[in-house]
Amino acid sequence: MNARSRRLCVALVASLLSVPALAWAQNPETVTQFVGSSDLDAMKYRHLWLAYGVIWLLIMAFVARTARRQSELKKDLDLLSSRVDDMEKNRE
Amino acid sequence: MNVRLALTALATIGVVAGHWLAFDFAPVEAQMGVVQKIFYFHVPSAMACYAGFIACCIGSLAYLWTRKGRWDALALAGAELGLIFGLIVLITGPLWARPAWGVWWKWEPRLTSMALLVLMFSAYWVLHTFGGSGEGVRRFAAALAVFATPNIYFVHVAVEKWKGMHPEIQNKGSGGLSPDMRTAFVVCMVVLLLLFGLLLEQRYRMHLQSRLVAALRRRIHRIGGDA
Repeated sequence: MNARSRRLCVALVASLLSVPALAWAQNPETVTQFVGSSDLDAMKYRHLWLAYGVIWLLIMAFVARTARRQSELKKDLDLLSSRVDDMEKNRE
Repeated sequence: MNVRLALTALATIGVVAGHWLAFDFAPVEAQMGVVQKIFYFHVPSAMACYAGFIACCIGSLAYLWTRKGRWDALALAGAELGLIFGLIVLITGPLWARPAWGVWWKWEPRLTSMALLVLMFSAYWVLHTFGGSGEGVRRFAAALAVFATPNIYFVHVAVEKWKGMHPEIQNKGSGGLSPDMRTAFVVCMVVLLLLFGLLLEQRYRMHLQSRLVAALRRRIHRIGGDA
């Protein structure tokens, strides 16, 4: 993983981690009883979290895959470039 | 200061700010409730999807014109990002529709045309990725992308032209968004398009490197070595 990709990954992970931190920073009112919400309300919350989970999971997977591939390509490039140089020196 | 680093930092701050604006700052929509908050990243994802497919079309046209590999790399990178964001739209849409409409999917114009658009670019990606490395395959894939791109127009105007259940908030005559909702929406849109730009550049670079590796392997083979 090259430096740029690593920075992008770290930045995205940091931003994702800060979302629950922001939520925790709120000051909820003191709860005195638990009341069940309707099925539809529960479904709305479930689907909201699922949607945001899917969005960031897909983007993170894409970034990670790109970073891994770039790192492999960089290794291949270094290896092949040095091999070409050696072969051309030997021919001379 | 490195521009890319600055933009990455800006995108990171923007992602956090976008989530805060969407979840805390923007009010809960009166009819649909909290599930409407999917909107703040669902619509920008659709715009990023369009941007990816348009980048693919521009790259494909330039490749057909110049036959230079870097344009083909741009086209492939654009298609891949368009597909990722298209997939996000097609997954988050039903997650919104189920509590809002009572069904996961409806064969109405906007949804159907979006699914078809994503399928067309999936065909481009499959052809480009698994069709071999020949010049003919690349040209055929580029032509496919050029013909698939005008469908973006049909997806965009589907609700206006053929009606349907899909909400159309930004249209003339519609109620629009409340000021707080609009602020959250604009920030999320800018942030996601910035992220799209950074990812496109990264992916484009990756495809260029991949072509360089292939060229070096061919060169070693010509010289007589084992690549």
